[in-house]
Amino acid sequence: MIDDFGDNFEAARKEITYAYENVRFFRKHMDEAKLSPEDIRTPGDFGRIPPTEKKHYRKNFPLDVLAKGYTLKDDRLTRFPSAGTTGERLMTVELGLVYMKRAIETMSVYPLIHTIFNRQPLNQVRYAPPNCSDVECANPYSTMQDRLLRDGTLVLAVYHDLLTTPEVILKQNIEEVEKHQPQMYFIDSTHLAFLMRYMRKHGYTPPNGPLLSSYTPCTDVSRRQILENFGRDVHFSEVVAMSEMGYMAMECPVGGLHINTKSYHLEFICNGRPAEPGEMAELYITTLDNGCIPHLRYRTGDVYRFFDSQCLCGHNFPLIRIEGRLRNFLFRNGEIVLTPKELDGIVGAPRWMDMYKMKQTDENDFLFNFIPNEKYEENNEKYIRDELLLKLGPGADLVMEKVDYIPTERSGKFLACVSSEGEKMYSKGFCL
Amino acid sequence: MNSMDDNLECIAGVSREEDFPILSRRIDDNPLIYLDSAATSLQPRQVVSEMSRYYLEISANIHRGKHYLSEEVSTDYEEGRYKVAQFLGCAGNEVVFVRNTTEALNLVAAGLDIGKDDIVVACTDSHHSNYLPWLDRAAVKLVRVGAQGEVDLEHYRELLKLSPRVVALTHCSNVSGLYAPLEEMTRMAKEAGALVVVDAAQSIPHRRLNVGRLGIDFLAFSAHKMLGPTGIGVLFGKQSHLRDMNPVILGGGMVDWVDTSGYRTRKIPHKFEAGTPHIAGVYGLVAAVKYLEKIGFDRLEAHDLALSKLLFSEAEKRDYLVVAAPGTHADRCAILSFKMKGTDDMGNIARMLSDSFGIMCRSGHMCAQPYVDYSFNGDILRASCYLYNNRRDIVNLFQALDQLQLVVS
Repeated sequence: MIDDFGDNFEAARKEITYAYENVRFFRKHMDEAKLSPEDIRTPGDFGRIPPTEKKHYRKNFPLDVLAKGYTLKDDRLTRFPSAGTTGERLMTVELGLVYMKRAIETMSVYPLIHTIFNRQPLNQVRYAPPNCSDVECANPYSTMQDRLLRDGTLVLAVYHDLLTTPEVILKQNIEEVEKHQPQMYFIDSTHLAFLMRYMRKHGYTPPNGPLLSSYTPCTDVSRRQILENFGRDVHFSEVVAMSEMGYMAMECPVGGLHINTKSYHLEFICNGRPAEPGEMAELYITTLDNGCIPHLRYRTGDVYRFFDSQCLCGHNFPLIRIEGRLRNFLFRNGEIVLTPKELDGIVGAPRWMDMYKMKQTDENDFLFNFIPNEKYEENNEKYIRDELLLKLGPGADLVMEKVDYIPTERSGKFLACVSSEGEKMYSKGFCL
Repeated sequence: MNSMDDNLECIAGVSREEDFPILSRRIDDNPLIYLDSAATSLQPRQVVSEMSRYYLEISANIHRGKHYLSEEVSTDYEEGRYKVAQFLGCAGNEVVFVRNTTEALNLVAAGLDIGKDDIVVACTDSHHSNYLPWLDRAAVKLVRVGAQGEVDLEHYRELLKLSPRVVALTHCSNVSGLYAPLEEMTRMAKEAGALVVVDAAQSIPHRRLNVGRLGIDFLAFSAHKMLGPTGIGVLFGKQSHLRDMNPVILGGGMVDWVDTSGYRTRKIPHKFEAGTPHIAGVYGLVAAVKYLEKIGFDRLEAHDLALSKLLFSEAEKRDYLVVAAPGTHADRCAILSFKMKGTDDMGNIARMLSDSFGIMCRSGHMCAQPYVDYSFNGDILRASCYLYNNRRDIVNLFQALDQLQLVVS
């Protein structure tokens, strides 16, 4: 496991005591495990606390997860809703300052972005899945003023089902970007790549500014399209964030993904034990802020590998690689055959492809949809098929289809890899 | 599982007994033979199970609340729309859920703002649902059929010179089973500047259609002819057309804003879906699409063609039968419509086939009265097959007809 535990073990112990004394759910959680904060004396004791999961925070919200003294009317609190799918939605409230501190700490891995982010005022643009249910509230009639936040962020309109966004809105997006002249972009890479395709078609290059890519993992195909439009010298950084935590990891200027070990206590767990460097492991997080909703040993469901090598950028946050959500992994016979990250590595960033999506629909059935562009030539995808068949193993039925449309998830997010078998394994409690 | 080596057993991947328990029923000791799929197909257990799951485990309404079940069902419903969109090769917001093909085609006819000065070219073998909505509003010109029941493309070309607003095509006739050359007719209609509206009710159970590649403007079908439940159908419409069309039914669920002076409709497709829809139907429809995709449309089409050839070759051997659009080499699905010489009461024949032999067939005008009257001058009998039918079903049908003709002729 990451070896700077010593730095924040005391902070983690304080968080445990704080949660035990102030949060009804944690007192019950610890009592049921016959543990009290005094039992957690060494880093080794930490693992005795049963992990917590999303459902605990959903079921006990707000009464039993809000720390004493907080109410939902508290002006200092900000709501962080997670749209979720298949019942995994969640509402988190936290002191806005706590999230800001985590973000600033995480951004330290990219000094230039860190500096720009701290400038005020700062014109920002957000182009990401809309935070609404689409049917009830999203509509094409909103004005720029309706979507201008107090901190200078302009939220660009987009349809929930990304590729159905009509031209009238895309035109509006360009006009608004031109008017707002953003100095920084907070984007979902699939969304921005879609807008980039429209912009390129109309000969428009948006104002240069750092790009922070979050919301869903950035595929190489999307990154290529964004960089082609902005130019290779643009500052592009992938950020790993969760609505219940805020910023957690960020890509540095030389392309290393660094996880913030200062704002959180982190555990990488594999087969119930701390993982070794390079090993696939699920991330458990403990917050350290004595905030409104402390999280103890929170199972993220996200799988990473961490490394003990030093990054060329010199930052001391550990390097990680995010493999994806466990429920999106491709499984056969109960074994992982491919992670979303590995899949993306196979697909790469071919110039003839705009988007792709892999869907495992049954134990042996895999559907790979891709949207080709004008550079596509017959059988370009052969290398992907060959490699996938090798990875998926004998008996796998892989269908590859050229399509014009791939829907987003109902949450508005676009996931490049989803799996019915992964869902099954996850709901059965499969752990690494 | 059954093998499908000769294409005439039950199609591979389908278990007649497990998936279609109704086929184990007996009618007075006769095993049930279902040959009425052009009216309504059977529903496999997988479809019914999904609908039951909705009623027993979810049950909530869509898009009307923030509670857990409401969100779950809304997600399932909209993902169902995406599934259908991918099935058709269109975008999610181009799929409108309706009750059936008839409602879909009426919605288009009513939404297009056409009048009696507008010409609509339709097919002689149209189902009433793709004929009456146009007849009621516009000047309808019917494309003649040839001696073998095929579309007369020369006549069609002539009619297109009249600059019709709409060409209302029947992809597959529910009477003759013949497929119209959809790609060619669509291209010709587009060259003439007409909107292309397609009734795909009989074709979509057997053939994969990609509306985007075909360039169709509207396409309609019902779930209940493709293993799905009754009461749910689909209208595909190009985004630009749907945006321009006004909804026919107003009420809850289709507006963003209402005040005492007016209202603002939701964006497409939701502005066309007023009131609580057939939610369980969407669960069933999605299960049906998945079931068909699992089998594969190549297999479905091959099986259908093989059954069609058997139907028509057996019919050809019997001179007491008068068959709609005879011929085994035509591009057609497994639908055989016919009369028996010596009797006009085909309803009575249908009753005897059912009660004495356990064979379910349709009789009447097939909701295509102009064509049926033109071809037969009265009622007909129709046998139509689907993926659960096999050689034995067809052989039994003809053996039963052979016996009946001895007493009715």
